[in-house]
Amino acid sequence: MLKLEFKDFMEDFPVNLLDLSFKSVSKVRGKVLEVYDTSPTDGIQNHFIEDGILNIKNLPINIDDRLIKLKPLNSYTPIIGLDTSHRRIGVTRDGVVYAFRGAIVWKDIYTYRYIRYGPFIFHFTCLDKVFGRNKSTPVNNPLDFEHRFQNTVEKSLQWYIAQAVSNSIIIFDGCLSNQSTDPEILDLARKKGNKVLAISKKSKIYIDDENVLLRLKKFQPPWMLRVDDLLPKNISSTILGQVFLAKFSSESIGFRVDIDSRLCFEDIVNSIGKLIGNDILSQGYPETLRLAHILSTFTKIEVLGIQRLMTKKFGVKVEKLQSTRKMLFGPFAKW
Amino acid sequence: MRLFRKEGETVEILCFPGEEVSKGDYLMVEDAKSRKSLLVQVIDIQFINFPGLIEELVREEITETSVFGDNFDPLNLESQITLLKDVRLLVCKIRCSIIGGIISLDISWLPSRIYSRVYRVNFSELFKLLRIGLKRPIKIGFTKDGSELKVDANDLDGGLSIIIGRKGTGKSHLSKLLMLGLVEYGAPCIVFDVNGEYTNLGFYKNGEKNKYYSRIFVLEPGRNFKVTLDYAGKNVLSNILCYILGLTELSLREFFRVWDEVKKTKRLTFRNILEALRFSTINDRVKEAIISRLYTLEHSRLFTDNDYELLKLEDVLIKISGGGVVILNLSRISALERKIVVEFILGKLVELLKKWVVRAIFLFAEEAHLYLRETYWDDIVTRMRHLGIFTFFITNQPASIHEDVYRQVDSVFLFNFKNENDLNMVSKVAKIDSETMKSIACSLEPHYCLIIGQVTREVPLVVKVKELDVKTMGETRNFFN
Repeated sequence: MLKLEFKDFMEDFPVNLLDLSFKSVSKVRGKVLEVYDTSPTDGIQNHFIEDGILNIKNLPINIDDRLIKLKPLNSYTPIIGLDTSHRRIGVTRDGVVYAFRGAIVWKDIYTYRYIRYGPFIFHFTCLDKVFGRNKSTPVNNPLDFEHRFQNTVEKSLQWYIAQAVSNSIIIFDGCLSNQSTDPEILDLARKKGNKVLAISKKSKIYIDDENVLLRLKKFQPPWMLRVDDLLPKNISSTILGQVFLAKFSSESIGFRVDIDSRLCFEDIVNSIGKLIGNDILSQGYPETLRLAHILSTFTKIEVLGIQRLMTKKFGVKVEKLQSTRKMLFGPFAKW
Repeated sequence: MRLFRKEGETVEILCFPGEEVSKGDYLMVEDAKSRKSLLVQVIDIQFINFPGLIEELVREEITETSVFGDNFDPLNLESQITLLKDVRLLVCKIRCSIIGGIISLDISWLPSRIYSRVYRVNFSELFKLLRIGLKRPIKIGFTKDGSELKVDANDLDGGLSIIIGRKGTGKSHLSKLLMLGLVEYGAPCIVFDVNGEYTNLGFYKNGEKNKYYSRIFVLEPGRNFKVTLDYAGKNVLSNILCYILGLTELSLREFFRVWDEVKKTKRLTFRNILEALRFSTINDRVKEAIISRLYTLEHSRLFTDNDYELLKLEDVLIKISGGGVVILNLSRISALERKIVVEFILGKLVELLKKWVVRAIFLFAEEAHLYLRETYWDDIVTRMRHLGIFTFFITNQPASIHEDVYRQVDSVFLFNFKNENDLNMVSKVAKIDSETMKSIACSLEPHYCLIIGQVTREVPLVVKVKELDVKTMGETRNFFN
């Protein structure tokens, strides 16, 4: 049975985020933090938008040959889902304050377990650099930190999980691209017998402005369709995995699934079979990943909590940010 | 606590965990800049609806019941979330302003959100501030924080009070407490005791005589309380015959004609009047109507023809002029007899007060709807009040008291009520907003009482009525216990 300990994770973590966080936030001590209006109608969208619409060439005529029919494999295999999120907490005169959090969820034989990491609060200014595993990149606009730092956090979690577990199926949120993961992480996972895949909620694969899934309606799930060889070259060059279109259950809307490019066909079918056989797939989406998303997401009350914490702990004065648009356009500001 | 919103007479205050406030408590919203304060009372406590709270609760439910794990929360954010989730909204009603240390009813000003400090006011401080129970204090009970509430006997003087609540909540207990408190200051009281539960007020719980023993007189119509027709007099008797026994005006006129004739030559006794009636030339139907009423009166046991049995009310009232209670035990007589006795007493009291035989008297009327005729309600709250009868109505049926009475009431002692109709009835006319009434009255525990009116300077207060070491006998009788 899979057992993950948080202390191991901390020891293996490449950058001490906690120290960085405290150092960074200590810069805002006594400053004014302008915050955004968190009206109840606002949606909660703080996950990294990593992908969009992919237009592919025409589907081959022999689609039946391409379509991989899947069978659930019930032999126990640990399924591990991983997700991170961030939220902008407010703006100071010199920069932006963000909160980051990651969650790792896995299914052992009987139940789901998790490790939640964070939140970490960071105050980014133009002078700061984004820490990667092997490099640090200067950023001109503090707002650019938003996704890049989340990437850093996410890659750290990926790194940890890739080496901490073996013979497991690791699911990332999004896709396997240069931006979202490192080839070294995939190498590490492979060495430990792990199978890495990524499931994207947002990707839409189109042919001539038509969603491919509509053309595949007649096929009974679970199935997968390999599409990476049909993608335009500019896209396929950034992708670190084999891209599939997959529908794991009949109520599923269908997702893009990226699987480690070094895995052979048999491993891919086996891995997906084990995923279907071991994890709950509500609406065709793995429960581990769904829980990782839920656990890492910042709710509005948490944002309020962070603002209050900054007031109490760091003497920050929270002020509501005046919306110029609202001031100028009143009720028409939203349009 | 932070001031959140003010709308009309309602103030909303944010209350953070660790700040203990409950319904009925008083808070002071002190605006340091304008040097004015608002005294507000908490009438409801609600959860605050933070954005994202539902997501948070749903997530919590998921993680508590089906997912297990560890959180590495370096900043201890969870404590902040817990704190925010438990932030409460105190819905308060403004009771008065304090401007330069003086109580004012001017609540038209708005306190500053930034400069206002909100804090809980101890009840003992509140009583000092409102100058409650200073001159002639009567100890009523204790507030939630243990402060003793003493109402001023002066505030009950010349007023009309109502004690209402469900059965078994402690109404009669409070009325006894008030009554004995008034007696301590030399006030004469009279009780219409429908259930015979005041008769042992002169004894401790253990049966020994208490200090009130010599000041308590129990009158039982037909036993130790009988009156003659002559003593009752024309006015009182005409009221009884007309309003209680339904004798028409014409018959009444004929009766008093016979009455006058008898009085010229003989003693005014039932026998003499009946004899005179038999020989009179009055219409037979009228004669029969009068005779039947006289028989009813004769059998009511209140009236007697023997002068030695006569007990003059003034003689008893004189005995309690320095403080005491006349208890009219109405528990052993029929409903009609009860009405006759009450009519007699009230009529006689008015006579005596007019003649200044008695200066004033406090009247405690238990379940008055059982014996008080319709026309007396208005009379009691208007005319009799000016003559010196200051009434306490005690009932478990608020609807039985006329709206006009509520409108003129000076103090209300309200025990627990669950029935919405009853609450609507009281809140419609009482000197308090219906929100407060409904919110607090519903949640009152037995023996807890909401006091509103002159005795509390129009500021609603909740108290636990104190124990009374007298043989009260008011408890509901049980079969099993």
